[in-house]
Amino acid sequence: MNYYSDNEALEFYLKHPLLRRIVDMKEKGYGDAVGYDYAPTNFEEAVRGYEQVLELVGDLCAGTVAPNAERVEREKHTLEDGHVVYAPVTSENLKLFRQAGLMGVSLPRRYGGLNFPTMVFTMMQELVCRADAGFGNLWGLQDCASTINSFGSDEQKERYLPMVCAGATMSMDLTEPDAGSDLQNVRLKATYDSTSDQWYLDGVKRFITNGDSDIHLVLARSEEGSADGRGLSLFICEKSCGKVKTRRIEDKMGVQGSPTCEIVFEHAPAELCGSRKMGLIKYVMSLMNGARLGIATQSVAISQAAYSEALAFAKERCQFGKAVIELPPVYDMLGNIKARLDAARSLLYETARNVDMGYQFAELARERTLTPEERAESKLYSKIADALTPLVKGMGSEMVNENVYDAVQVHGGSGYMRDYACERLYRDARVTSIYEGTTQMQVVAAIRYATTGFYSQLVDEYLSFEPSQALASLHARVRAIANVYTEALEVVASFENQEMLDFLARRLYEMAGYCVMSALLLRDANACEELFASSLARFVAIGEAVVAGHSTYIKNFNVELLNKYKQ
Amino acid sequence: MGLNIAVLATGVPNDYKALEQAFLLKDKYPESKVAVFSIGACAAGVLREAMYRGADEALASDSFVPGCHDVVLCGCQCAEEIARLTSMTGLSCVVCVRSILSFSSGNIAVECVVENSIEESVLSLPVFASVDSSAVSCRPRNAYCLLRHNRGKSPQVSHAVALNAEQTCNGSVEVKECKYYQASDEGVRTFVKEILRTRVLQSADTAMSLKDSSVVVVGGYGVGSKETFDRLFELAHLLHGNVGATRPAVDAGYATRDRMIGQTGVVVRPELYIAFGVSGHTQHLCGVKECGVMISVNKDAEAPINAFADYSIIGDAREVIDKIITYCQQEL
Ligand SMILES: Cc1cc2nc3c(=O)[nH]c(=O)nc-3n(C[C@H](O)[C@H](O)[C@H](O)COP(=O)(O)OP(=O)(O)OC[C@H]3O[C@@H](n4cnc5c(N)ncnc54)[C@H](O)[C@@H]3O)c2cc1C
Ligand SMILES: Cc1cc2nc3c(=O)[nH]c(=O)nc-3n(C[C@H](O)[C@H](O)[C@H](O)COP(=O)(O)OP(=O)(O)OC[C@H]3O[C@@H](n4cnc5c(N)ncnc54)[C@H](O)[C@@H]3O)c2cc1C
Repeated sequence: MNYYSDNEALEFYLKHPLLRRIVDMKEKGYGDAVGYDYAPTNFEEAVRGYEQVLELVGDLCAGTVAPNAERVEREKHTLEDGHVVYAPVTSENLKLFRQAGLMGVSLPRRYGGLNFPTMVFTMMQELVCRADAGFGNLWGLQDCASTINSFGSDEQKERYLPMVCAGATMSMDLTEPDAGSDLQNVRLKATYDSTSDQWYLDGVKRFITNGDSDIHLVLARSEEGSADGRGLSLFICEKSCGKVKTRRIEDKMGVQGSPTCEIVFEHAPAELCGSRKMGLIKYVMSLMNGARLGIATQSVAISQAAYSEALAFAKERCQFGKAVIELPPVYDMLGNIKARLDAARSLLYETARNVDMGYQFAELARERTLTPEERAESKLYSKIADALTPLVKGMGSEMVNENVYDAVQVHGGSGYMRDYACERLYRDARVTSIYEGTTQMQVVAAIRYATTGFYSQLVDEYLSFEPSQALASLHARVRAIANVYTEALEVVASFENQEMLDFLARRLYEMAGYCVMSALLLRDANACEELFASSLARFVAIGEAVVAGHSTYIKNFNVELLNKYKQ
Repeated sequence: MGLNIAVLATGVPNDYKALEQAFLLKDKYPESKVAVFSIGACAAGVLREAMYRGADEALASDSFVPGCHDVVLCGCQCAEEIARLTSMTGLSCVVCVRSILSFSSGNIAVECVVENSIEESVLSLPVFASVDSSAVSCRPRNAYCLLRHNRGKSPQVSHAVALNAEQTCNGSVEVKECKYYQASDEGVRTFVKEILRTRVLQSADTAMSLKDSSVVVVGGYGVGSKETFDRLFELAHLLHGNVGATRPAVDAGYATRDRMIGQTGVVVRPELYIAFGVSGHTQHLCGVKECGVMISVNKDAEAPINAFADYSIIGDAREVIDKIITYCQQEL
């Protein structure tokens, strides 16, 4: 089995027309080919390379990581003398990925990386998380290095990035006991000692994935007496300093493949990354956007795993003299899982493409002044990426929870038993709508793109093509739900009440989600009917029901109701 | 401080274990060079894989110059072959090496398996070492090596061997080629001989249940008919083993349900597992645990099982079963 080659949708998304532009920009005339014998000399070679490496990852994931996923639940990580000892299978997975050269996937070759675009990294992450969402976190944290690459000094890049490529692990230390969704409240203290020209960190972080990492990115309060986000800076701190201790490994519901830790900084020497006071406002925003895309990917991956498990089970299990997959309520559940999976994946890779383009223009802007056209394009891609990231994180993670729920249901009693992977998937999925910002926080980040009409514009843009005859009526139906959504926006705007907007935001967000995802899946189905047409028909039908329901709710809402609903 | 390491691939699964020992040395002494040579008619598959996993060079045997390497490793355990190779290299020889511990001032310390126990010994370089099957498995392919290879730059697999590889991929209905063991009729005969000697004669108990059998012959859907499937019993009988089946083979009525191996069937732990016309899906292979040697007979060189099998014979199950039965009868 190979998780890459057994899934045709992946090749479809890999070979998207925009990939050429992304790769051409990323490889800058394929100049690296001179100095690096593993750099491609042209676009075709680059894509062939991506495919080969994806196949390698698909093989490792299906062959080793997936079978290990069950074992890590029993073996557990342990705490020894303030440090984490990984479960043996986790160490085995890590060793394998280091040997396979998969630790610096998107970093520049100058530092030993593979220089792959976000799109391809995202696809690898889908494969890894499908095998084991917990290990996916641990491995995916290498993406933190991109923040050092974007904002660190040359010395920092030269020091840390080769370490990452060689297999050093990372962690993103943001959350504290009193600062979760509200990161402005971070208290961990950073003090500057002018005699030794050195920053020191003191304080506690909690819920940190892979908290005993080799290289920590830490959000800390560098400005004494400040109380908000503007007093925070980002620091790099190495495990080797010996002043960062793990004092607890959380006993959690799922994603056992990576330890979640409470860590203490005891006057730990650290380096400032980028400029002072920009920690939360700029760098953590960038860090989180990458991480949110990662969790969206994880959501799609778990959905894929849940679908594969449920489908296989339903074909196998017989009741009333036939396989349960032949029973309408069962194939209905399976079809819904598949539809939500395909729609979320469509949005995922659309987001990844825009992130790539935004990133490439930002890189280009660092090298030379952009032309006015380039500047306009750059702005648009970044804006789309910023708008789609909270949408795919929130929608994807909520949908994977629906999917694992249905997948367990398809299994009946067996789904409740540890013997079936589905039981683990059910628990693993739960956290996706919590970490990297809860769904509620995704709504907060996304709502302005609803109220300003940006999502509506995007849907219009996505729908502006001539559909094939077979898809014409679905095209019209997507247009129709988009209109219902726009009307609902107008109704909410007419309330002119911020609290009502906050209360209804989740509903508007979901409506936007269904419209954008339907439109994207429609485009994909138009390009490849056999892969997506069936999911599309279902997804639009689900979307119509959700959008109509929310629309009714919003139309019947008023201030009196809001006051009644207050707890 | 680098070593000049040669790995001689002779077309046995242990080739990969020898390769890993070479890589481990290179991990420790990064200036070392690992060159892989194919000895005899060994498939180019090993050479290509070696390059994908980190070898510096892959060459055909005629470019092997005896005496110019510090360490020569091979996976072959066959006494005659080792004798032939050592006379060819003229080096001192150590067998059944499980791991190479260290290297210092012209000496190398190794751990060997001697009659079920582990012994340490120190040898002076240059040395010839054959690696035991209990050594660690080979590392996976490496992304950088794949990309390098992709650019068509470094892998120096010689032309002649590369041509062989083409033939291997195309396959043929003759029992001619294996994935790791490119072999003529004669080669397969030798291979059957070796398998029989080392693995089979130890288990003479015919009354074993499928679950406990140390030799399991499995038929998949690709066997094609009940008649062919029944021939598997003849082979199993010769090898003192038992017969298993995949789910589609059971569904097609070739075998009874109690013979089904896999997720929903029996779990087996054989020393020797021979699959005929089995594609190798996880649901089946998860029922094959701690397997000693896995052999696959499949007409499709790309069948997933070939990624797991130690030997893959590309050919029609019906013809191959006949040949293997004939060879076995001759050898036993
Ligand atoms: C397994 C796991 C791994 C983690 N890994 C990391 C990591 O590596 N690094 C890291 O820094 N953190 C990590 N976290 C922490 C995670 O990011 C936080 O738990 C998350 O951001 C939520 O914060 P909180 O738990 O404090 O919840 P709270 O912020 O206390 O939220 C409680 C509730 O209030 C809602 N809420 C809060 N504010 C608002 C608002 N303004 N509008 C609407 N609703 C709101 C929330 O949606 C939630 O329903 C991890 C958490 C878990 C469970
Ligand atoms: C929940 C679930 C549980 C399952 N449990 C099990 C289980 O316990 N055990 C089990 O075995 N399966 C099980 N399966 C089925 C499993 O997924 C595979 O479908 C099955 O193992 C494939 O069997 P096969 O290799 O015989 O058939 P196929 O996949 O059809 O493969 C036939 C192979 O034979 C080759 N072939 C064809 N003709 C020839 C020829 N003339 N000569 C040589 N080769 C030829 C083909 O190239 C192919 O590789 C399960 C499936 C599910 C969904």
